Amino acid sequence: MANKTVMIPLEVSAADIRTRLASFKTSADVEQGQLFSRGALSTTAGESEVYAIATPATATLSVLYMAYSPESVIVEAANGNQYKVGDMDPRSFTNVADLVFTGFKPAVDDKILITADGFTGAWVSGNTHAVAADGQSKLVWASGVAGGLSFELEATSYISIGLSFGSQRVTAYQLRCVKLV
Amino acid sequence: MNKMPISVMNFTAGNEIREKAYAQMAAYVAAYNEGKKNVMGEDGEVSFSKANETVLKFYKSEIEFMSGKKMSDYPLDVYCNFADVKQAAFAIIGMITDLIIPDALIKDIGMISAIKNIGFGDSFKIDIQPRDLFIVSKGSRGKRSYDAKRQFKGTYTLIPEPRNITVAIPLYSILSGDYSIAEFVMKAVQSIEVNVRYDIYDAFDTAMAALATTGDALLKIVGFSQDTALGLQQKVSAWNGNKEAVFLGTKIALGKILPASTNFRFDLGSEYVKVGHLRDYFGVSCIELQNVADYRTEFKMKLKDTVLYVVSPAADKIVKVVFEGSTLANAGGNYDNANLQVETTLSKSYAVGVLTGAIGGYITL
Repeated sequence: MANKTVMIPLEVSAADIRTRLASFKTSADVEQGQLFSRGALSTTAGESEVYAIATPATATLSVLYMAYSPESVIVEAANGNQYKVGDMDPRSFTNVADLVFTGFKPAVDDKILITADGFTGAWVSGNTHAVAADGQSKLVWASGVAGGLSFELEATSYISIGLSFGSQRVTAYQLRCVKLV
Repeated sequence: MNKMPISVMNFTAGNEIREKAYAQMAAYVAAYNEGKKNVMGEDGEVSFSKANETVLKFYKSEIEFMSGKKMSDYPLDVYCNFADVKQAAFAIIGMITDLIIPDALIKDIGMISAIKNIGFGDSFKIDIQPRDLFIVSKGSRGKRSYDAKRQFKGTYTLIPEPRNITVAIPLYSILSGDYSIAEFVMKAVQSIEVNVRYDIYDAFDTAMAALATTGDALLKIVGFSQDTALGLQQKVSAWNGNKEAVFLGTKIALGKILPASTNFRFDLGSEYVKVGHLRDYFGVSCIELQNVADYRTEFKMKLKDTVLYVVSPAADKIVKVVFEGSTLANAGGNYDNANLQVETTLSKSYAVGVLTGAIGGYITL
């Protein structure tokens, strides 16, 4: 089973500004760092502050959110029963479908650290930026800024995870938001 | 014995006398396996024949306790054919198996493996802490906070699977006195113990042999030299939180550990000749892993004589062995089978895996 994206917001404006955060819910799993635009406000009773999400489109590339919740892994049985079994590995975590999760709206100069699973493809030489793209829920590597949310690659780093017997450093990319519009 | 498996504790229902007796029984069996003439008993050292007598007496009294039938009230052949007596006898064998197997494994390969016990139906879960520290940066004075540093635990699980063995003897062979089911059952217990041991060695060696061979991550080196071996030992110690690493290997492998300069060798004295290897090499302990027969191929030995392992025993043990519940011993009656074959089945559920935050080193000689 493929690993899920691990993301650490190093310094983000959403840590200080509550309006850059919102609650979302959708019918599919959403990985950490996944991009989406804010959809319609839920009409379900008891969800008056919860929004639907929409896949990034050309018109929404400058108003995107990123998923980020505390890594509390939920395991689902074939019959749909869900359990929190104490799996601490953040690569097992995803924001499970039909449960409310948090998203934050990146701002220029926000810094994040995100593993390779948070991109549509592998990094190659010359990829200096990671950008949002039409129809893509994950960041796309690029050689420059694009027409919407764009991050600059500041450093190739790592995230420490307690892995068994061997390296415990999972490659991660330190990105700084340089453009929204 | 410091610790008893939970299954044995449950079996003895908190009765201290019975617990002690089981522990003593396991100690006697271990002494027998090691070929000792004297055994440390409750009241000091006793001869093996005395220990044997004590074990038999306890075994009988335990059967009487569990079955509720006194041996002296019946002729022996009648007594032995009571279903509850048989069930009690094999339940006790199951408990002894649960005592003997972990005890033998801890003594022999406790350097590389840790034994865990879980109940029937449970899974084993371990959380591993990252060994990394946070990287510190300079920062200006006019800023309230800096990049948020985080790290995560890892989680691993093991699900035990049953290993089963059925031994069978024709009833006629038992009646004629050619064979007894007891000797076959004893061998079955040993076979399970050896199987666990093989699984531990295999998991350990496979993981160690797959270590990185290049760059800063280098933990596997080809060819022994004083500098590379000591360098690897330093690295393993340092990255295991300064827990002293030791050299592990068979007698032959350890015998290859010698100072580079032959000028030092005059000082090795008789220790090298008597023991077969140095006990300490430039301050690093050299510990022997006793080689064992690999019964899967006749006359083959299990451990490699061409490999030295570098591990920190005080850090987390590299291999985890998980036993699920107790050993199940299922003894059939003399007339259960149409072909008059008497069978006993032992079932032990366990799992072995390399689950650790520690690292190790591997030197091929």
